[in-house]
Amino acid sequence: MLSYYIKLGLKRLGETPVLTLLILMAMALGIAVSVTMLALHHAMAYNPAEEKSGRLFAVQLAAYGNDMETWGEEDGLPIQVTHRDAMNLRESTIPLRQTPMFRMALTLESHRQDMPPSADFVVRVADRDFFEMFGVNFVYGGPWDKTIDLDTARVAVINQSVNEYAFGGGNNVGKILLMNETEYRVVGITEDSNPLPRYYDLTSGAYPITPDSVFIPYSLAPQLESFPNGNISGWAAEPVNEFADLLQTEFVWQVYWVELPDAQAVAAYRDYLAGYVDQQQQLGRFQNGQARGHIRDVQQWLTYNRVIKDDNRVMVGLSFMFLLVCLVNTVGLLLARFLRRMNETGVRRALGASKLQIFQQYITEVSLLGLLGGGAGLLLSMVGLWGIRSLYTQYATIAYLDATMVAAAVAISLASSLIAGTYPAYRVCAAQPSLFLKAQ
Amino acid sequence: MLEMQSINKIFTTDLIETHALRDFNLEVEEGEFITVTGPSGSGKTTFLNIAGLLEPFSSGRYSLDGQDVSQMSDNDRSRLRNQKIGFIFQSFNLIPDLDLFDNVDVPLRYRGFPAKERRRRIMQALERVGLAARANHLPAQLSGGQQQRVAIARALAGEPKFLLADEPTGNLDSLMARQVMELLEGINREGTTIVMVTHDPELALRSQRNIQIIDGQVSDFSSAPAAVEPLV
Ligand SMILES: Nc1ncnc2c1ncn2[C@@H]1O[C@H](COP(=O)(O)OP(=O)(O)OP(=O)(O)O)[C@@H](O)[C@H]1O
Ligand SMILES: [Mg+2]
Repeated sequence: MLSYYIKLGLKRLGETPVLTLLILMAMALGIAVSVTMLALHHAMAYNPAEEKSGRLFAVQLAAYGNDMETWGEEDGLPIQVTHRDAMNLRESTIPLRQTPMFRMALTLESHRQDMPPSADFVVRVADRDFFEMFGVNFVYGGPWDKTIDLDTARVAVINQSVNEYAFGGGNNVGKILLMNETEYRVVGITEDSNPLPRYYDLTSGAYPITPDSVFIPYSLAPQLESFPNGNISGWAAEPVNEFADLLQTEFVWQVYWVELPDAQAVAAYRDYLAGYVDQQQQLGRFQNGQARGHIRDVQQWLTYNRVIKDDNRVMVGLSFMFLLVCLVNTVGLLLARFLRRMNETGVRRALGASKLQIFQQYITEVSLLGLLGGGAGLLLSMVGLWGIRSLYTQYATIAYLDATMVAAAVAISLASSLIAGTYPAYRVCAAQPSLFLKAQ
Repeated sequence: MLEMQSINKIFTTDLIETHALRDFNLEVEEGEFITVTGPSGSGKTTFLNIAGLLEPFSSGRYSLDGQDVSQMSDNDRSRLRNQKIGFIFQSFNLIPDLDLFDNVDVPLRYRGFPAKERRRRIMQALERVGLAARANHLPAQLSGGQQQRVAIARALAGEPKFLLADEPTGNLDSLMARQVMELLEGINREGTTIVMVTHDPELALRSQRNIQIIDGQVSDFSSAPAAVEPLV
């Protein structure tokens, strides 16, 4: 019977092209707007840390001068820490894992012929725990030895893209990578991964295009000669002539993460931070009245940094209101469409169709409209997302439809068509058939 | 075949109540060909719609082919309609955007026959009414008489026991009317019970029995066709 209903439905869609087009446009527009907003929200609200989200905490310190009202974010906490504080925090044994981090732009050289040097790869400077904490998967080798975090060595972990660029792929653990004319020994090769939003370092945008491609030990920081290419901010006017100076100042330019596996560890770490602040005050730093330490887990961190915004939810809500308005229009158009065929319905009833069969026939037709409208809506939302990507560069990497969103779009359009079609189909099948069989 | 006892049908609209059938009693035997006459608005169509399970009635008892239909669900009534009843209307009521083949197909679809069986029955029914060659034409391409014959083919395709016709010749000229009437008589000879509403006294005379409905009731005068002088 379904194939009969589909055949009839398709025939009818083609017979009234104008009305069909109007209905399709109403549905497609509503679906496009809501799917576009939903896709954007879905990408922006995504938390790549997933099940580790509650164990990973960003550390903040209000560590600035006495004469300042407030500094950093609205709550008086900057989102980065100084190198000196990072070095001190590293000494705590409370976190299961921990790492400071910042990013640099170094010029890589390839061993392959005709490959020009490249500064397109992002170099992340971090401790060994980084890989475990942020779920980096190794293809060859592994992270550097724990001892290197203390004693340092010129080693590097590279991702597949760099491996391809520098060596042409394959297992190149043990080989030498040249960066800024300095030799680094490759110890591990990871999969390419580009978690968005880049929750562990939001200082250069939540949705960067370039993945972190080279990782070198944080213990190398004193030996690095070029400046980091992330955010650097300070509250005191300190002279900085070269990179080594930066290490000694009160400028904040690193992000600090700790992994605290349970509530006990969280409480212990909070105590530790309070103690650290006291100690620094006694040493003459942290002279502000607000001086304190603070930790936030990934979800809180994303919200705090306004990566996840309430506005987005409001926008999604509004877009679904718009869909509803489109659907109300669709109900009217469908009713007009179906009522025009009441004579046929009366005939079908007289010839033995049950109310349910009539309902099914019309709902099938509406579902076809829904699928077509959904398909058109999906295309429109691709156009919409393309528009968003070109208008708002900050969304350039995430304003896309993934498989979940395509599935959601299909579900939304089917649900929409059922919502819009149920009442008209019910009206038609519940009508008294003899009324429409009278002599004309 | 059909047995109605004290059927009442009251239409209630916002303004008025219309007693379309009142204490309506009728028995139709299997194989009969009955014509129904009566003044306009007397309740003929209402009777036919109730007989064909298209319309509920307010009170009374109605059994069709031995089954009491008053308590039946919509599904059961639809199935009964589909399997045992054929309808023919004054205005043909073909579905305009379906060709003849698909029009005749409609009741067979709800019957659930396989495609091959449907095709056989459709072509057989169209042959019977002399329109097999036009199976792929649209209704609008046919004359009124031809359209009514398609409607008859559609009613016949499911081989119903009971054919209900509401002024089937009302829109046709006398030649075409006679053609349709002869078709119906042939169908009746094969055993199908027919109830036909008509305004045409000549046709009423040709049937085995004529009943007259006046003011929602079977009039006392109705009986043998010869005795009837129908109102037009
Ligand atoms: N759906 C309805 N709602 C209200 N009143 C109705 C309805 N259908 C029929 N009636 C009324 O019931 C009465 C009988 O109508 P019906 O159509 O059965 O007459 P009829 O004998 O078939 O007339 P005609 O010869 O003109 O076809 C009429 O008074 C009519 O107005
Ligand atoms: Mg009538």
